[in-house]
Amino acid sequence: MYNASSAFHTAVANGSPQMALLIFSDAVFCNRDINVSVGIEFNDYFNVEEDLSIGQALSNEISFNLFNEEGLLNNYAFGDFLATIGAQISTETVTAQGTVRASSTAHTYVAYSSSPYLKRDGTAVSSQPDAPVVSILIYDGTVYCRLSNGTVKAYTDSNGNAKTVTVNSFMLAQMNKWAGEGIFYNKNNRLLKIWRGTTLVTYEFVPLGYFTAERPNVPAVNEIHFTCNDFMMKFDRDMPSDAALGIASTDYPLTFKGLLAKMATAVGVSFDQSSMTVNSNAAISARVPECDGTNMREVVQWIAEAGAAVARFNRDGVLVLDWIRTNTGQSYDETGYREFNPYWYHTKTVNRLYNRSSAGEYDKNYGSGSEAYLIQDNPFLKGVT
Amino acid sequence: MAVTITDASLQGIYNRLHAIPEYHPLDAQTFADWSVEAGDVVTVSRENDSYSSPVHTSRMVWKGSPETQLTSGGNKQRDPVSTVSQKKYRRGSAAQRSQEIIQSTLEDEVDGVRSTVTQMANQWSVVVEGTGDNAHIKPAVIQASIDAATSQSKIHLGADKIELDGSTFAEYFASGNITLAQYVTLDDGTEVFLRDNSAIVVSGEEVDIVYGGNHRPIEYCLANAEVSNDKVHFTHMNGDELQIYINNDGELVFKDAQGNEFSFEKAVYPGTITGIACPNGAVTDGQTRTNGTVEASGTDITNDPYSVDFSMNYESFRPQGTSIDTAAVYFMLDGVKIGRYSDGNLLASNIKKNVSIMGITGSYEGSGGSGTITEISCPDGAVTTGQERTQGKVRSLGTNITNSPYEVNFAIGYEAFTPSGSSANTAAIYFELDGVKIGRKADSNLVAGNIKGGVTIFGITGTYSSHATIDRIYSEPGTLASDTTVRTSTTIRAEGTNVATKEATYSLSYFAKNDDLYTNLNGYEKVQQGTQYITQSSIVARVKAPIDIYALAYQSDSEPSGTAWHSLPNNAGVNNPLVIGKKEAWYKFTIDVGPNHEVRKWYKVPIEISGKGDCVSENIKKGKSICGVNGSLDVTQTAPWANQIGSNAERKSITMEADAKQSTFKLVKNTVTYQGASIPCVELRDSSNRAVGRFYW
Repeated sequence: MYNASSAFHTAVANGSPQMALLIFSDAVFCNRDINVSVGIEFNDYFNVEEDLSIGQALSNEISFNLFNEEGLLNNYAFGDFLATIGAQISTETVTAQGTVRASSTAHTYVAYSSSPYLKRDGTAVSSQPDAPVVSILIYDGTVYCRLSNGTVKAYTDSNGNAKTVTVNSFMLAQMNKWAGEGIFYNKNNRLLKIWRGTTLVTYEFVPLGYFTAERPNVPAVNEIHFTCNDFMMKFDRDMPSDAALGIASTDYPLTFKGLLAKMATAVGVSFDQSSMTVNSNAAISARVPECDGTNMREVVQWIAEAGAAVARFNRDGVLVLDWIRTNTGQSYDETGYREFNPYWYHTKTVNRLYNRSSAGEYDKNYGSGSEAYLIQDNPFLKGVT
Repeated sequence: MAVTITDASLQGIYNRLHAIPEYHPLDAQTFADWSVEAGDVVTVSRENDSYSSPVHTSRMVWKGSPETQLTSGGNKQRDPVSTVSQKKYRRGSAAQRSQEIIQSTLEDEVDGVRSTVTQMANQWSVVVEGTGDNAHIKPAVIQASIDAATSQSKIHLGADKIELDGSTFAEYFASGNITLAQYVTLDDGTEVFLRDNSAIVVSGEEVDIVYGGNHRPIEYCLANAEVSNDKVHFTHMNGDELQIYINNDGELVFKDAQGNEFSFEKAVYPGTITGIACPNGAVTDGQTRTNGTVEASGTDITNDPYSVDFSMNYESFRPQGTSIDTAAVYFMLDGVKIGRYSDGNLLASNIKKNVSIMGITGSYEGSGGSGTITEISCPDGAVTTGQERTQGKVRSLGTNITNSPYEVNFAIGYEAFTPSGSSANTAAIYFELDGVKIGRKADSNLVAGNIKGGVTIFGITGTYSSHATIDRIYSEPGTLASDTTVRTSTTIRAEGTNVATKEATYSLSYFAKNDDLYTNLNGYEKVQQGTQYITQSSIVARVKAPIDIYALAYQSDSEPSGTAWHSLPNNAGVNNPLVIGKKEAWYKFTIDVGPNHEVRKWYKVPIEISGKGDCVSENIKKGKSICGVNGSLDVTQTAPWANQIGSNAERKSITMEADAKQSTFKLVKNTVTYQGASIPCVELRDSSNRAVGRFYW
């Protein structure tokens, strides 16, 4: 269960306003850009086998439709993005300042209709905007000011110095739609604050994960449909050589998790090595021959199986070797569900484990009983007893 | 290079798997928020029962709020391992394994249906059968084997039904994978050969050979057919032989027992026409159909059905023995008129005038009844730019009207008109239809005062004249208030109609001439004869020089400044005004009476204005608009002005003249009583003999 405040759970349970954000490297899409009536479908996978199984490399999916009525996305590249949804946890009355205001964790920015157009903590910034500020967005240490002359002036939040940024046409239009609003998104606590006149509303966001949106073949339509997978798809490629992975012969013996870390680096994702708790010190003395001629995702599956886990990306976009979390305590009574169909039987506890080769080279087992779990042809467990 | 796995063990894996508690698989449509992740253990309760299960998949649909389907799966028993556990592995090399009999049996049972897969050296089989309560299920067997003696492979199907994937099976045939070397053995042992692009179709009690898409029943003959040399030979019970084959031209050839070709199709299928009908069907209410198809159909007819087109129309028709046209309806089949029908009453005299029915134009105008006026218009059409039309016609059109079109005349004119509450005549423009004025419109600016004098517009004669009139010449200020008032200068002013007020200022002074003392006012009055000495302190000089009077003139568009005046010819002057046409000009006269004595005077020549007449801008007073024409006429001008002086001898009066008006001011010696003393003075008196100026000495 993703860690969220009790205020968040209460807000969702009470039906407070919610807001979806799709945050790309250079653009952010919100409710008005997403066809909410079609909705966002998010598929979160832990096990796709019939019985609960280890050794899976799972890829979560998200699908949605983006409006493109003004054609601003016709040439947009899309790419990796964070999908996150927030719930409004508070509304406060504040003293109005200037025409637009926004505060980061350390500084307050107030815009005025006449020169000086922008003040930081009560002092005019040295590099003044050329025109009155329409809206302010503070994100990731940068203060973006949308000006009435159609341009964006940016500042570094920590020192107030002007900063050169490139803002695409979509974001220019997007920030214009936020006229009169000051917005600050804090990535650390996932709180979004919006100042509108004398009102300050706060949303707490819980991410769905990081995904990759491929540029559609025909983007010049009024509404663009996307079905996106998380970063596990980056492993859908041939397993590189040791040299390409940056592994020298002297790196052997190499732990399983060490190899997985090299692979993660090769595809540009993060891997939490501490998430491998079973066989965490297991290592190979040389490159496993079966790694040649297969793809990286299968190797991920082998290592996950050796770690008695499933490989998946968590909501923060980090690869982890995951297993059942028994301490979530989430429960639902009749008011918490619309439909509920429990099966008439219950599953059996695994009481035996086989590790064998289909070719008969080795066949080991552990435990005794008829509820056996089979590990077969895993080169990272070849002959392991 | 051998790979060594270090520190890895199954125990940790086993411990984790073994730690998974038993759980009930479940499927719940919840209102869970999206902080719940797949892999979480959730508890769902219903009544007194609660179920805790790990979430295998979570599918959330968010449409402004979430709805999440949580799924936890799992079988009652773990199947894969239970089947494989019965597998018997052997050790040894691949070469050794190929020479040994290996038996592998996989068994699985789900809900009373058991499947057994058995693999041996030369045979592989699948058996599905019911067990327990499902023991009545008939076993289904698929068995593939190789005959060790013949080395032939065989598939045995022991199922009640065989289903083949339609598209895959068809592609298999089309690809030519089934050849003559392959065959199907029927239950009775008959072997049926198949060739490329052919198939055997069993339909009901018949067996068809399909070749190139054509079916042909071969019942009863199949057992006697044999193939040789690319021909099929059919042998009848009586020994006759029939050959069917395809020649080099790709044609299907039939030959009888004697080797003679025959046309199988014609000999066997004489056709029969069984009916002629119209496939379009009967017309229904409201439907029109003027053409269609007549179709013949039958049995064993190659071009079945055969159809020709028909149509229906009408034409002019004069029945025999008559001289009056009517119309006949005809039916045309395949381009030939085969029917004609007319109604004897379909005559022009029975049809409304100008109405055509089936080509017969009516001439009957009816009796009684009522017509309908459909239009009132002006046949002359609209006037165009620059065109004037003060009269015309209005036309009425209608139907069933004997005198249609009916026309009356209209005219547009004007007449004198005094608007209500006004005393100024104007003119009203009216529209007169059939002798009756039905419209009138007046322009309030169309009055005499806004029109050039003498010009008539729409009957209104203008009075706005260019002729100025001097109404009055007077002194300003007026009559002296008392006998002792001193006023040594006065202004004489002329006012009138259509003229700007003109005025001139005169000073009363005196001078000496030939020892006589004169009073000077443009002209002069001898005040005292003989040599005089001025005793007043203000007069220090004695003037003796004779006065020479001469005139200088200067022509200019505006009053000149400075002293750069120019002389006119000697004959130019007051009594010989210089005519300079229609241009206004200034003239200056100087009367030099010696040093320090000078009188200057200006006057203007009047302007003559000529006009063009009618309702044009030049005839309308400036600032006024008549009938949309803005006036530009401005006759305001400076009053003509002349001061006539007498000879250069003594003169006691001066006559001011403006146009036809004159006013004479005169100098009069007088005495007034001032502080008890009688004091001589000279007064300027107007035409009413009232003193308007005076000085003493």
